[in-house]
Amino acid sequence: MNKDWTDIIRESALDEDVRLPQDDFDILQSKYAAHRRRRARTGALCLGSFAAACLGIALVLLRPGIEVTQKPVVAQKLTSDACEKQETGREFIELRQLEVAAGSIEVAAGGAEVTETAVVMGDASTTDAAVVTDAAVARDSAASKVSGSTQQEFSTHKDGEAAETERHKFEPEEAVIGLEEAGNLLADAGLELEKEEKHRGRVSVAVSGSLSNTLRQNQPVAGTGQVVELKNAIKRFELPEKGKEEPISYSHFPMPLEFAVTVKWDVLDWLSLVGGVQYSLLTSNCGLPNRRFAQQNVSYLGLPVAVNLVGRTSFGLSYYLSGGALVEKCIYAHRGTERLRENGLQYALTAGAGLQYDFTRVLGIFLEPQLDYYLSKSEFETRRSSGPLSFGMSMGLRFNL
Amino acid sequence: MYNSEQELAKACARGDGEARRQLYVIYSPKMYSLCSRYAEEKDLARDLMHDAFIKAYDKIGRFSFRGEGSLGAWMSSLTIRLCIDNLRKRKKMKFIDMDDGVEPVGELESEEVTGIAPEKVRELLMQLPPSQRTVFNLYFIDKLPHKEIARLLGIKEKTSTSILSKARLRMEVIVKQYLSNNE
Repeated sequence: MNKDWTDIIRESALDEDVRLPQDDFDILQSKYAAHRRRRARTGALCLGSFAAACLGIALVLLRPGIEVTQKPVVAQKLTSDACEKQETGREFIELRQLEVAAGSIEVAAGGAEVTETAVVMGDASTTDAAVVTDAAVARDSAASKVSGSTQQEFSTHKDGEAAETERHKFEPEEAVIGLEEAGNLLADAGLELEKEEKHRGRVSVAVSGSLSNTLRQNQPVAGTGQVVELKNAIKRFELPEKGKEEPISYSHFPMPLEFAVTVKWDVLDWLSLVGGVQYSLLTSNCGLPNRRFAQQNVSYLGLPVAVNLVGRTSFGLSYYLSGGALVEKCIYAHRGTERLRENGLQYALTAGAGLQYDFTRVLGIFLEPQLDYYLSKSEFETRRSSGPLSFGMSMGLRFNL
Repeated sequence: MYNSEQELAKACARGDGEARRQLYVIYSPKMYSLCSRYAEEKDLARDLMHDAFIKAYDKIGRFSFRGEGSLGAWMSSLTIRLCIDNLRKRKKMKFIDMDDGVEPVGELESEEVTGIAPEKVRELLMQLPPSQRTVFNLYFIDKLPHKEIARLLGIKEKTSTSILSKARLRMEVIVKQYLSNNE
């Protein structure tokens, strides 16, 4: 049977005598070793992140359900001046420690002689409580809800017997008024209640990922060559004249990827401090001399810090404005098989606005659009090179500890 | 030295350095030749061949022996997919079924083509546009059916057939031009 000319072409193509350099296998070996090192690093990073996430979840979910606080919920010291306003003329009572444990409220109060009844009123399911130190006020209002036995217990101290410590146990149903009402009662009595803010001091951990895009796109830098953008968006690299050095050109910059683990400390109910660790990956597709092509990957490890102004609504939703800074260091970079290095640090200012929704007391989700302004210029040609300002969308989970 | 493909594959999966070297010695010429047909430059072809071997070393544990020659076929298939991915990443291929304006110059005879040196054949193949060259390589040289080509390239079978007929036409023109210039 006569062969088709394509069969002859095929036989020629398969018969081609191929000569590879003598050290080609050694080069392959070193490339494979580098590949395995990269894979081990990536695997370790993924495993470490997964383990940290599992540990975080375990710590949050498995901690005991009993909430014990050793912070004084009310540190109000009633001076003798304030006491004089009262009819009873009591001395001050300093509340040393308020413990809420296992559904009961136990108050240890100490100080000078107790000449008045101390009634603790609060919500047993939270750590918030108030001390109403005016028995008359308490009696006239919600104190009537306090069980008779307790009142009687107090009445024994009305005669002014000095007591160094007083302990009164109330059952949860006896602690019946909330913080606000206690505050109102104290206000009526001319006393101020220093309220313990619900969120103050709370610490949370968040894991998030984000995509970002440079806001102002310039033409990619191509060294001494010239990049021409055609109508159909194919970038063609025009070779420089013979004898001149061929530069590296860049044809495509995928969106940078960022992952972060941050810790947020609620300094006040409306003010938080955020700090953590952030990993960024910037990829570029580039053309090398001799018309070769390679991918450039640059990895940065950064330390972001920020201050958040927080507003809260009911239904677990909160919103915040964020402002801060970021310092980054290049930890790994390569272009094709060539390993690259960058000295120095990258600095950026950050600003964002976010929304967070708390599903439960321990778990929430947040979304934060953010602007980053890079103050320094990287040695590498990446998506960030076309402009210092970039817009990113960050999304993640927050675990309240 | 390992005498059978099965033993060689198992040894490579175990991480035996000598087995990997043997695999390289046996298959590197074929894989380099294959990469050269898809890549435009020798350096790129070499990089692709290295990438293919790295992938082969990683994945050879999943290779299942199906008779003599199956290891070679597996390596070829892996290399072809790598070359296609590389072309796609570099945005070199546009599979648009449109008339490229090449006029037929008459059917080529096999005797006309017989005398062309293998290196020259590769150079002539390089004159085809990347998309036509890819389909030509996959169909005529690597002997893949249109269904498989369409699946690999993410195109319709009809598009593959159409591009192939255009590639064949253009290749005839290129070869006839070469032959007339070298008479």
